[in-house]
Amino acid sequence: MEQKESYINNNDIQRAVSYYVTFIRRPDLPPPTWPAFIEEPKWYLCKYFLRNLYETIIKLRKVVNDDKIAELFRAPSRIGQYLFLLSGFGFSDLTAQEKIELIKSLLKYMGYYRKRDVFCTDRQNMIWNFKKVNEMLDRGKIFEIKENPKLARTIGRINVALWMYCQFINVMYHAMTHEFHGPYSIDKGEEFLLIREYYELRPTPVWSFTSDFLADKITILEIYKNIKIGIDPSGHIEHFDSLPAHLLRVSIFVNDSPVNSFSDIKNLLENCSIIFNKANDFTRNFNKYDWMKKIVKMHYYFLKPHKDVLGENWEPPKAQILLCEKEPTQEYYDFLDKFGSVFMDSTEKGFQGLEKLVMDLIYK
Amino acid sequence: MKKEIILKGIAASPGIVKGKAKIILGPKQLGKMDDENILVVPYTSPDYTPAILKASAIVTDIGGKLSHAAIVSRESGIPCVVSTGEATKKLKDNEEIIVNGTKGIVYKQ
Repeated sequence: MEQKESYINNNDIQRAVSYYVTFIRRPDLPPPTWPAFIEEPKWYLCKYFLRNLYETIIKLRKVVNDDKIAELFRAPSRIGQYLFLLSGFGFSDLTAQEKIELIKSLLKYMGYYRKRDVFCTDRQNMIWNFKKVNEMLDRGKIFEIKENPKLARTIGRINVALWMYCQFINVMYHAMTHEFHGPYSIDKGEEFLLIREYYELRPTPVWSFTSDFLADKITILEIYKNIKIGIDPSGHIEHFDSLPAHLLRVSIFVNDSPVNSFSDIKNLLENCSIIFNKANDFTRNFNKYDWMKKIVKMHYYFLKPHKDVLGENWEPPKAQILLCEKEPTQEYYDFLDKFGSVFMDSTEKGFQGLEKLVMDLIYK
Repeated sequence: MKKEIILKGIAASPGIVKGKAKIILGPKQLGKMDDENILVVPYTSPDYTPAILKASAIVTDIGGKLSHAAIVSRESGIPCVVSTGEATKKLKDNEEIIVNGTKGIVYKQ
């Protein structure tokens, strides 16, 4: 029996592919093109990095349990970002069995954090329990927006700056260094809490200028009312109204210490603006290959905790760096054309065609 | 007095703001932007962030309700009109305009 028939009953793989295809085919969510078309980095990542990711997990299983491995990944949205490499699976040297094992492992580790629904199909990303939520609310200083209405817009700008900063240092894969979770219902469901955790904001081995940023971790707790907010499994907050207009209260932690004054909040925004100017200066003369090297290095860097447990070097091998200095193969561009033509078919037939295309890449 | 409509697009973030337009065609022009100017761009991306943080509204040539410009505008609480087709061509630097992000219209002031 051909292996392809086995995936019909393989629910985990089917779910992962359906999630991926559903997400990328959202008609009003344009594919990122900064600083390159979103599909292009996959060729650079899938040849060596996927094997690195797979083999790291397999080796770790010999020394620690799966819960510990999940903790090393830090957060579920980061793991979800690896699933975006699915369309590049055909360019990896992993066998079909290894690819299936990798996908199943990633789903398991996402499930360590998301007890309800790995894919947040109800648009809720629930990671903390109520004890943890209450602990954080008690520990921080809560700022009331009605006492300072301008604060709402300042918080909005801080979130824009931090989210864009995560896009910058992760070069499109923004959810590698943030986790947005909730909405957690509070006050009998009248109000809800949205939590934004930004972490690993100073990856200096990859981006030296980030040592100038004031924090490695920033957590923002926001309480809203009368607005519909959803969170998808890849770190996007879905809303169609002005967030500051519905913000009631906010609490901020910088490197786990509560922020206690309006001037500290303003200082945070200024720091965000300064670091962005530094980021733009740093990358002013970047070409495509420079960006690809950074995407690749960041992916390897996020496996440093795993490599530390194994006593191995996290840095990408020389062959990987050399690959980043070349154009993808014509085979990959032909694949992108085929992928693109199926992608553009917005009908159900197009959806199924894309699912089949991705499935074939996994079972190739 | 009836306002003259200059551009129509998609209403991406609610609100109405008056201000001076600044046409920015790339990251090298970010220095043109002053606080509370209206950012007029083909589209936005992370490298435009320093200008976005100063903007009182955003108008773009392309995009939809889930485009980058739309999302950052709703996060910041500033009006935004996307998919005007020709904002960067029709508007001029320092032109006084009104952006109605609730209706998706840009008016001459």
